[in-house]
Amino acid sequence: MSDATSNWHLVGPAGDIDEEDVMRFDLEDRTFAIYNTEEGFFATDGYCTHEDQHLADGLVIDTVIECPLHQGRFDIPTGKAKSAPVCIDLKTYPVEIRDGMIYLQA
Amino acid sequence: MTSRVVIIGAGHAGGRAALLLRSKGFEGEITLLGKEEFPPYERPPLSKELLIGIKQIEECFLVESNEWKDKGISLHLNDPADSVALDKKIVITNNQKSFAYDKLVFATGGQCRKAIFPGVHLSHVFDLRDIVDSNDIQRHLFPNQRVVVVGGGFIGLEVAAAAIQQGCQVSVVEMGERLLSRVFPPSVSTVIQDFHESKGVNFYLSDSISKVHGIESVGSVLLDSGKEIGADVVIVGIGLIPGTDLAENAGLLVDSGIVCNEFCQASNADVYAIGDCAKAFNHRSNQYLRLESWQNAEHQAEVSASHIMGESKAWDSVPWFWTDQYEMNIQLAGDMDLSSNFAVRGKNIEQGLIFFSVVDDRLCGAVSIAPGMKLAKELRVAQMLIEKDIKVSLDELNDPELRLKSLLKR
Repeated sequence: MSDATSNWHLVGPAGDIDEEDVMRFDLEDRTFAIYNTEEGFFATDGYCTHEDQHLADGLVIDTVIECPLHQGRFDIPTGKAKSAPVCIDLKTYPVEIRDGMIYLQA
Repeated sequence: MTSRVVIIGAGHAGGRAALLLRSKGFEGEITLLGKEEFPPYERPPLSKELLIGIKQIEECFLVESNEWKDKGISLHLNDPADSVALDKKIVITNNQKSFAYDKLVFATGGQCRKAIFPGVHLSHVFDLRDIVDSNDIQRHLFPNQRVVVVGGGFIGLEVAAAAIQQGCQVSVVEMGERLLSRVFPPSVSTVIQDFHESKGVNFYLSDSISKVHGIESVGSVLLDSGKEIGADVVIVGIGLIPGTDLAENAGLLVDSGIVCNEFCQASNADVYAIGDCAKAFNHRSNQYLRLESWQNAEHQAEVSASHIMGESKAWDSVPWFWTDQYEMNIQLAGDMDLSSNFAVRGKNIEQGLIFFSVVDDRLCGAVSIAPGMKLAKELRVAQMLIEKDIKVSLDELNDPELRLKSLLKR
């Protein structure tokens, strides 16, 4: 969900995130979760929508991220909440890989 | 056809079942009967964040208070169910209101097991089950208060940690010879005791309270061993008695829990039981289990709501539990087999430790102890290894080079 004020930011080397895994990325006072999945790289808000918890500590299974605190699940590409206790969707952000580096638009 | 669901107990499980029924498209009447003054809330913060003041009561609520009305869920607080007539399919409350049902859900939780030592009725002796208890205790945790915790189980240890964080002098009295001896192997008990001692907790193991001294409020406690500990506050955490009286009086089958099949149906097909009060058949482990956990409240709410909606989703969860003590997060998946050998990954508690229990080449339980969520991912993989019944060996699990997640692809 980019808007007119969003810019592209360098996250780091794509090789830093194992396949089927997630990494935390902080940008000033915001935090994001950057994913490497079988369907490619994605980015969402970094905190679970249920309670403040870094999703980057959670487990990625296929294209689903599970919050480590209560095991609430979100679909990574769409940010959609998939199972209780989470019911509010995550915001998603565009990600691109250029020359092996990850860029995030936020 | 089901057009009226009555849920007895407006706690976590009951509240979640009501919300799930709505989200699954149930359009009939949902009535939620609660004995407390608060709308449904999650209990884990009561012995943790609420005690140290980093969370407010409202943050424990399952949903914002107005949502019950918005979702058309009729919430009756301060009015517990008093009797159930299974033949007439009616529930009568304390205030003599009656509610007819097509399907009934017991989510009656339980009550604290009461201590019986002399002096238990003095003021400043507390137990901890609900928000009111938590608030009462929280007011008494301040610097240099002498706090004696009775029971070295999860609640007792969480309260001890919170009291230390509030600057209290804390003693824990546990009748077992080590902490958490029914669920954890000795090596795990030792790790937990060590980090509590490093924070300043004094343990009195293989000991019990014989008497609490005091004029009006607590002054000291006398232990069976003859030791006497000065005390301003005594907090009792010695377990839960499942809330089964109402079900038993109604004529349902009860055996240390309301006995249910794998769909959480009790001995009457129109009646379900979920959460702390239910002893349901766990399809995966092929046995009846009564569990007291956040996960169990969630999962059995899901199983019962699904079944009411005509789906057949059997309860097959691998039990999962967490506790926070200071900065440490401890998680347990499955059951540790205390008679077998264990694999251990990790070098020290700062990096985090994870213990695995293997029986017949299958993982049956795993415990992680780590600062924050450092090992949450690994523990979750362990839970999935149990769920998927994947073959593993102690040697593999002991190998620090092995990427645990790779085992899932077997």
